[in-house]
Amino acid sequence: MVATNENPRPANTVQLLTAEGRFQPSETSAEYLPYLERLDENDYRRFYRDMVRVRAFDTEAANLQRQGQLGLWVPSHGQEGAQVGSARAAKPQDHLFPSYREHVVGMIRGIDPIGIIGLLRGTTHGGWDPTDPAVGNFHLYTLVIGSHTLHATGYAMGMKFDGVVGTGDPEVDAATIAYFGDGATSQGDVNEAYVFAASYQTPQVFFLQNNHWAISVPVSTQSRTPLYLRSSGFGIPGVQIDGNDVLAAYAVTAKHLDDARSGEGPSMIEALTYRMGAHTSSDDPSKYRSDDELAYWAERDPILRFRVFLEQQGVGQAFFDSADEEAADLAADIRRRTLELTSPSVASMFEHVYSEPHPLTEEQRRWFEDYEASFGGDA
Amino acid sequence: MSESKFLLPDVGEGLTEAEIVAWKVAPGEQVAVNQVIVEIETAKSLVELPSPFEGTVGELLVSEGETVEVGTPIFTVTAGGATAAAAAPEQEPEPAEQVASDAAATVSHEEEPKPGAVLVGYGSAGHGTSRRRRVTHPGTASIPVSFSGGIAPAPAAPASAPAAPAAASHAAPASAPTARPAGPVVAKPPIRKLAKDLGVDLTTVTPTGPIGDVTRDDVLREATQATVFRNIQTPEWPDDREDRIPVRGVRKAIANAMTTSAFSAPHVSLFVDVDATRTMEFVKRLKNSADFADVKVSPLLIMAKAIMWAVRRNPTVNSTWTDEEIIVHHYVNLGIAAATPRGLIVPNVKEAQSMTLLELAKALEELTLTARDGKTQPAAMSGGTITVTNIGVFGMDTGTPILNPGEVGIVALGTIKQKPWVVDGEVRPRYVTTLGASFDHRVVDGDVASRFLADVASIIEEPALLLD
Amino acid sequence: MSDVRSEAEYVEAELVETGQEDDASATDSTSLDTQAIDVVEIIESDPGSRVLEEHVAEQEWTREFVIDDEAAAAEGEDTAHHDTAHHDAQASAEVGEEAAAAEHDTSAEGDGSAAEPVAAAPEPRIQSLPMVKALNAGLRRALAEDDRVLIMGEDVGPLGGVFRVTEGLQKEFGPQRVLDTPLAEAGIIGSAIGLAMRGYRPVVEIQFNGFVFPGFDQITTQLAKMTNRHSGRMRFPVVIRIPHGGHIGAVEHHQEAPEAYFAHTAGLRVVAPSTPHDAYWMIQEAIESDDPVVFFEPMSRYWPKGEVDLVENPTPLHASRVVRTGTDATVVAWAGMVSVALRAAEIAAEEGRSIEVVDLRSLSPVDYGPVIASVQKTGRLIIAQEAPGNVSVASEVAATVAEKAFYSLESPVLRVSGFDVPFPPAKLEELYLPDADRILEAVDRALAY
Repeated sequence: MVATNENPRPANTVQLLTAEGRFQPSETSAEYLPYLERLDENDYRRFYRDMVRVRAFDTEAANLQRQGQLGLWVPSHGQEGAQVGSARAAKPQDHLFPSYREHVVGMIRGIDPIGIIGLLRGTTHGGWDPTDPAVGNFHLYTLVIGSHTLHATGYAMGMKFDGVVGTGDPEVDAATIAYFGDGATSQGDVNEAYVFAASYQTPQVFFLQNNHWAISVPVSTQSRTPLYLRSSGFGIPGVQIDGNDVLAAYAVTAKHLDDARSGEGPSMIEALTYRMGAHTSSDDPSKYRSDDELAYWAERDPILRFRVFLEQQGVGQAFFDSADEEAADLAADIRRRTLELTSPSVASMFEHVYSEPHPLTEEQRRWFEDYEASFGGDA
Repeated sequence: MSESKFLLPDVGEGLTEAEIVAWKVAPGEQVAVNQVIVEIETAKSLVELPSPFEGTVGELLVSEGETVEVGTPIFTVTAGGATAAAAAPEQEPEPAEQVASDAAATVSHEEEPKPGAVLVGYGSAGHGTSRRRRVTHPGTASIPVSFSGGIAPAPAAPASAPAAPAAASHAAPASAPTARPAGPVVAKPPIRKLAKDLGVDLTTVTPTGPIGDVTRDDVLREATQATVFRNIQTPEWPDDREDRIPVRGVRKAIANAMTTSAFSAPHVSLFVDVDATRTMEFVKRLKNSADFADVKVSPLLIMAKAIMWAVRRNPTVNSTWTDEEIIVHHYVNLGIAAATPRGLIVPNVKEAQSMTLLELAKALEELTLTARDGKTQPAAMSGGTITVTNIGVFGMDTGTPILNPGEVGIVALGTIKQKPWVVDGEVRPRYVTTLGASFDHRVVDGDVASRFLADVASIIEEPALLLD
Repeated sequence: MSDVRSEAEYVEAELVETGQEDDASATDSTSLDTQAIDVVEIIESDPGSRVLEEHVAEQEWTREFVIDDEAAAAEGEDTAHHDTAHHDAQASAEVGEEAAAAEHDTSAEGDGSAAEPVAAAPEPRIQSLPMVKALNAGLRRALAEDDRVLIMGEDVGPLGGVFRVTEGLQKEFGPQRVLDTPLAEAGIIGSAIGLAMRGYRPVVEIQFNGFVFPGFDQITTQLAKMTNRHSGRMRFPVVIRIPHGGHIGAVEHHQEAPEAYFAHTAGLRVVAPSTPHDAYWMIQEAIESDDPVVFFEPMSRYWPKGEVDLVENPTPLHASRVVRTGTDATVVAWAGMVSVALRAAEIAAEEGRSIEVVDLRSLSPVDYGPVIASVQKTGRLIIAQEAPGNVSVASEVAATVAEKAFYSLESPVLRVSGFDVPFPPAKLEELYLPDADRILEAVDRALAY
C-alpha cells in the first residue's frame, strides 16, 4: 500500500518473492500484481541474466582495481535486484538519472560498460553520450551526492512543458527516474528536488536504494523515520519495497512510472537493499559493520532468490550455466578492453570546457602545446 | 616463456606502501587470473590481491611481514598454457602519456615501461630527482609585446609596439641598433626609473634591446652625451611690454643671501687652468666598475674629494667669520650649488670628510635628486662650511662665484673640454678645465687662497694623490 | 570638461551625418557610433534620491541628448511596438532611418508617439531607459524570439521581480515561460540544468547577490562542468542573473560583489554591463550563448537612465571597451564602478590630467586587447572594483597586464577595491566602497612614479 498523508505507515513492505525465493506476494503488493502480467518467461530469464552479468562485471572490475588497472571501483554487488527491476520498467522515452552505482541500469539502457571502467580508470569524466539514442537516455554519473536529483526534476519539468505527459499515448508519455541512496536523502539538493517536483507536479519517480550505509555511516544517522515516509511530507507519495526482490522492483516501478507518465505527478520508491561490498575499493567495511549483518543479507541475495523462483518455474540448469558463461565472457572481454584503454590526449584537457571558443582556454592550450614540444618530442 | 612481474599497486587512492601479510600461493604453483595471491595490509585496510596473470608462479620477491613501497615488484609469473586470459605483458600498449593528476607527476620519463605497469597507483614510486630536459626554449612567445588577441576590433589604439618579438632562440643578441621606431617606448620599469633619475627622455633614446626595448646601456649612453647646456628653442617676443615677477620665496631668499654675502665679505677670486685628463679617465673607470654601477659618477665627485683634501692642507678656507673670532671647522659640510626650477639652492652634504668615495657619490646623487624634486629640507641648507658650484654643466669656462653666507670659500668647476695642451714638450689635445674660487679676504689672504686652489688643481691633474 | 564636451559634439555630428547618409541609401545604418553614446548618461531618478544629487551636476551637459521625457516614458510602457518592429529586419532599417532623421530635431518631436498608432509604427531607435527597463526589454525580446527561453526565479511572476526587471513578462508570456519558483537557490539552478538538458534556455534570477551561495554548488560543481563532462555533446545555455554591488543602502548580503568566485571557475562565462544600452544587448547575447553565463547587474545603475540603441550594437558580449579616451593613465572598471571612474576622470581633467577609462564588461573571458593597447599608450594602469581586493578579478587583471605589458609600465599596476572585511552596515558603505577620491588617490600615486 502506498503511504499517504492519511495512512502514513502501511503494514508491510511490498514483496513478491520471499527471502527464500518463493513467489508469495505480501498483502501490500496487491495493486502491483497486474504489472507482473506484462512479463513473460523470456523477461524473467532476461532479468536473471542481467543480474548475473553485472555481478561478473563488478567482480572483474574489482579485481582489475586490485591489480592497479583502475584507481577506484564502485561495487554494485547486492543491489542488482532493485536496479534491474526498476530499469526494466522504464520505456525508451523515459530519462534515467543515476548516481554512480547503477551499472546494470546503464547496461540495460544500452551503454557499453567499458564507459564505466573509463570513468574509474581516469580516462574520462563521462563515459558515454546521453544524447546517443543507443544509450537509452541514461545520463552520466554524478559524483556529488544528490545533485542530479534536481537535474532529473528540471528535466521532468521540461517534459511537462513539452506536453509529453498525460497525452494517453504510450509511445509519447514519458517520465524521469532519479536514482539515489540513503545518504543522499540528507542532502539539501535532494530535499529541494522534492520541493520542486511536488510544486510543479513533475512526471518523476524518485528511486531510493536504501543500502543501509553511507560509507561507514548507518542509515539510522541519516533519518529517524523510514525514508519512504519522508517524501510524503513534501506531498510526494512513497512506498517501501524489498529491494532485493527483482519482481517487486519491477512491478512497483512500472506502476509508478505509469502514474507519472499519465500526469499524476511525482512519487518515491524506497528499495530496501544492502551494499554487500565496500562503498568503494578504498573503503574497509570490516571496520564498521558486523559479519552477522553481512550474513543476514547474503541470505537475501537477489540473484539466489530469483534463481530459486526460476527453478520453481521449471527453468533448467542449462540456462543457468549459459548465463554464467555469458557473464564470464563479458568479464573477460572487459578485462581485455580495459588493458587496451589509452589515456586521453593532452589537448582533450582543453576541449569542451566551453561550447563556444574561449580565449583563455585557447591561450593555455597553445602554451601547453609549445611547452610540451619544447622537450623535443619523446620526453 | 615470458616472465611477468606484478608491481604492488596503490589500492586506496594515494597509499604509498603496504605490508605483505600472507602469501596465498607458492613458487611453482599454477595460478589463474584473478586468483587471490597475497594478502596485504595498507594504512586503510587488509586487502587481498588477485593475480593479473595466468601461469606458473615464479618468485615471491617480498617476504611476509615486510613493508614495501607502491610500485615494488612483489612476485613473478611465468606465462604458461595457451589460454592466457590476460594479454602477455609485452603486448600491453604503453599509455600514450603518463598524465598523473597529482604531485607524483614528477615520474621521470626516462623510466622504461614495465610489464603490468601500474597506471593509477601514485604512491611514492617515481618521484624523480631530475627535471625533463628542454630541447628548445618557448622563446619570447611568452613575452608578447604587442597584444593582438583582442575580441572586439580595438578602438583607435596607437600602433603596436616596435619590433616583432624575436625568433624562438635567444642566441643572437641584437646587432647594430636600429633607428628609434615609432610607437610607445618599450622599456622595463627599472630602466624607466634610471632614465628618470638621470633626466634622460626615453623617447629620444635609440633602443638596442632584443625586442626593441631600451636597455640600461642605452640610457647611460644618452645620459653621458653632451653636458653642454642646450637651449631647446627660441621663443617669440612676448606681446606684453613687460613681465612683473613678484619677489618672494626662493628668489627673495637668494637675493638676501647674495646681498649679505657680497656686501659684507670682501671677495677675491682666483683662477687656474688644469689638465683634467686623468680625472676624466678616472671617472670613466669608476663608471664602468661594478661598485659604482648604480650611482651617478661625474667629475664633480672628484672635485668634492679634491676640495676636502685641499681643506686638510689649508684649514682656514673651511671656516666662518664672526666679528670676534674665526671658527675653523674640522669637518666639512660640503655645499653643492644646485639649480632647481625655483632657483638656486645650496644644500650641503653633512660630514663629507668621513665618507668613502662611494658614499660621497651616493650622497651627491641623492642631494641632487631631492633638490630637483623640490624636496630639500631647510636643515640641509644650513650649516655648510665650504661650497662647490658646477657651472661647467652650463657650458661656462669659469666664473666669479659669490660666497654662501657663513662660509669663506667657494670653488667653481667649469666645463671640461678638449684643448691644446703641452705634454712632454708636444702640443696634444687634453681635457682642460678652469677652476675658479672666491674667498673672504677677511680670513683668507692671497697666499692661502692660492695654495688651496693649487692643491685642488693638483688633485684634478693627478687624482692618485688622493691615495694619501 | 573640455575633453568630454568635445566628445558630445562629436557624437552629435555623427548623428547628423548618419541621417544624411540614410536619406540616400535605405538600408544600412551601421555607421552610428554607439560607443560614444554609451558615454553619455542621463541620470534622472526620484527626487530626493542621493544618486540624483551626485550625478546631476556632472551630467548637465548631456541633457541635449535627452529625448522628451514623457515620450520616453510612453515608449517604455508600450511593449508591443518593440516586438513587431524588431522581428522585421527591413522594418528595423526603416526604424533606424526614421529615428536617425528624428534625431536631427533636437526638440525631440521625432518619437514614436507622433507617428501612426498602428502596431507596425516605427519607434525611436534610440530611447532613454533605465537599466531595469532595458533588461526588461531585452528579456522580452528574447522570450519572443525563442520559445525555448524561460525565465525562472523567486517572485519573477506577478511581482515582476523585486527589482521589477521581469515586470509584465509573465502576463505576456504565461506562467510556463516565466516561472515563480520555490525559495531554494540550489533547486532553481539544479532544475534549470535539467531544463537545459531538455533543450530549454533558462534565464534564472537570483534575487540578491548574497543569496547565490546556496546555489553555489550547483553552479560550480555541476553547471560549470557539465559541458566538459558531456564532452560537448550537450549544451547548457543557462543564464544566471544576479544583482550586483552596493550604493543602495541595503542590509547584509544584499550588496555583495562576488564575481571572483565565478570568474575563477572554468566553464562559466561572467559578464557585467554598466549601462542600459549594454544591459539591453548583453542580456540577449548571454541568452543566445550556448554556455552558462553569470550575468551581474549593478543595482546602483538599475534606475539611472541611459540611451539605448534598440537597433544596433557594435560591441560583442565579451568585448571590453574604451569609454573615455585619455593619455596619462588608464582606469579599468566594470559594472557600477564605471560611472565612478568616469566621474574621477572628469575631476582629473579639471586638474589637467587626462584619464582613459576602459569598461571591462566581461570578467570571464577578459578582453585584454583594448586594455593592453591603452596601457601601451598611457603606461599606467589603475583597476577599480567594488569587490574586496584580496584574490579578486582586479588581482588577475593586474597580474596579466603586468605580464603582457611589462615593457610599457611606468608605474606598478594599482588596484582600488573594497576592503577585505565583510561588507559593512549601510551607513558605512560609502566609506567602504571606492569612490572618485579613492580612484584619484591611486591615479596620483601612479603618476608620482
